[in-house]
Amino acid sequence: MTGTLATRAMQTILIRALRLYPPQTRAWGEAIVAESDSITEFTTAFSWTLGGLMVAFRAFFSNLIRRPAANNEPALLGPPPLPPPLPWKLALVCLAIAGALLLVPDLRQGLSITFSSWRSLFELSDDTALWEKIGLEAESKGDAAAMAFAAMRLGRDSARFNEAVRLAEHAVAKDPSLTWIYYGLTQHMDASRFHASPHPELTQRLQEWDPKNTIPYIAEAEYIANVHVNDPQWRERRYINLYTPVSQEDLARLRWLALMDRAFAAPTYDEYSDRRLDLDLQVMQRLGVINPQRVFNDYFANFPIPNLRNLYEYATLRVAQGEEAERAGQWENAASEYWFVAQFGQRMRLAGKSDLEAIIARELQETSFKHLQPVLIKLGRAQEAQAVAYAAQLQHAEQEETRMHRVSEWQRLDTFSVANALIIHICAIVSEASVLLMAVVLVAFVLRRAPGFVRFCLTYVPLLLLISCIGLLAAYHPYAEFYRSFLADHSAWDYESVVNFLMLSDVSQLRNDTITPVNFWWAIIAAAGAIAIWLASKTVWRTMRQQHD
Amino acid sequence: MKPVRSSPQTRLLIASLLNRPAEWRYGYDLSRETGLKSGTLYPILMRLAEKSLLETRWEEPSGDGRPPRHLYRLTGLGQRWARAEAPQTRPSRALKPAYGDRQ
Repeated sequence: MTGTLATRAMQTILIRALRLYPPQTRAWGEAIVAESDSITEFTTAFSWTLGGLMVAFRAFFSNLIRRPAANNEPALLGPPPLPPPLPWKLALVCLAIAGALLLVPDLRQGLSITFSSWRSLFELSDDTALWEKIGLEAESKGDAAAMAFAAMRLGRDSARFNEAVRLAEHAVAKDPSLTWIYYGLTQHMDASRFHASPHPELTQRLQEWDPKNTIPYIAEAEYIANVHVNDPQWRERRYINLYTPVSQEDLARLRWLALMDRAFAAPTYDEYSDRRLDLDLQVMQRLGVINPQRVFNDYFANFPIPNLRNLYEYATLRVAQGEEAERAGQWENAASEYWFVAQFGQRMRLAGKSDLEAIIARELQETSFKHLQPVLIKLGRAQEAQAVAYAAQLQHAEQEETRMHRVSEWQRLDTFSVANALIIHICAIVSEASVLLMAVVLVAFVLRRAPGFVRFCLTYVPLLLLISCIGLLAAYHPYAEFYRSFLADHSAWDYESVVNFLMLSDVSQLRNDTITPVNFWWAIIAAAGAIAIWLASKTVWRTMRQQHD
Repeated sequence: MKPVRSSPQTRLLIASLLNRPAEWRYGYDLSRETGLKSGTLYPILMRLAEKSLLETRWEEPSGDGRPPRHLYRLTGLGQRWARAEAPQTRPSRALKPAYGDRQ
């Protein structure tokens, strides 16, 4: 390969590739390099270099899996040099540090989360048996909190809804302050037989227990609206002549209107999410069944939010009534309708826990303020009208800010969170693979098989295990810190941090994206598995052919 | 000692070596003569050498700055084995040079 720059570069590559040869076959690599000096054509030199590299890699990998007997073959040049001593001390130090790191709870938690997220791709985690056991034990001990906890969990399973209601009633009988759990049960209407449930009295009891709260009325109103969702005349049934015979649908509409009136007029808006989280964390910690997946995935996957379409529909109805009053010149009535909606929006915005509720609440306020301002002017309340106009502008600006905030939030989640989750997953895979490899190596070492493989693994795998453990610990530490702070004071949680956690642990459940950290690594594992199968089949084929020859 | 796997490429190579059994041959020349690429040729040469069917030595330094090349020829045992294997060689393959034209 004398002459051109390209051919010299290829010769350099072949010389570099000499490092891949084990000492006993290195001379063959030198022979290929020596021959390359006679090649002048570029294409020939390229092909020669490619072949030389293949030989080098083949020698490298053959040496890894070679049995001791194979090393007794005559070497090309003199006696084979002694292999370098194994770095036992380094391996032991790495293993000791990695072992110590595995005792750190954060690291074990990170491993557990990634492992269960891979497992959930094949088998959805089902804790029903655990909740049933907790429910039974709580009943026998008279533990109202644990009964309420189990009832809310079992209520999501339609097959166990009646059992959940029985447990809930038992819990409330023991401790009436737990009556709010009935709302938890009504929130699982879609996933249960609540539509045809023989327990419509649950929402009635909730209303009696908490009459000043919007939520108990909304719970029943939503149930009625859901039942009549396919009634084409549902929205027209508000013009009902009570002096003529009315249908069941008309009565349902009247009941819905009455409930929504009370819901919008109620002075408080409380979805019981704080009480629910308190109960969940307290019971799970007390019973020792707490883990991040149960805290975040389970809780936020079933976050209680009222049916916002239902609220919006009723608010639109009240605004329309205000417009009718305006057309009739009844300005006070119109103002009263608009204020009614605006005040409900304010309560919902202040007490609602989700961004979605805040967005709907602001929209209700903005709409009602826009209608209210000209009415107030007509009523001669100019200063009030000015304040309302300013409030409408403020709502609009806040709404835009919230929307932008959500967009940037998801951009951050789609980039930084995914990247960090990938790092955690790769570190977890590497550390778990390293532990498995170490086990295989120890077996091979005891059986005195594949010394090259054992030497290679003992040299590099402890180091790999240590690096992956440190990487996992460093990357997972912020998540563990957030989890700890959440357990210490859950009132300060923020949506982004929680979704960040969900991105790591169960993103496929949260978003419908194809590429998730979990799926990505499964794709890599599948590719590696396919390569391994291909290599194994090739080896088997060769062995069979050798035997045949 | 396990017998060397007699693949078509191996038979091609030993046929080439058997043409001039007493002569020391270079790897590149063998490659051109047999049409085998370096990635195929050298593993076969290594296997033959391991089984003592091929003897190898380094060329004496020429003094013109070129590195000494590696030389190969069949051992007595290799020649006997090659004569038994060579008749199975398909001549058509040997006519395709791997690197450049045949000299």
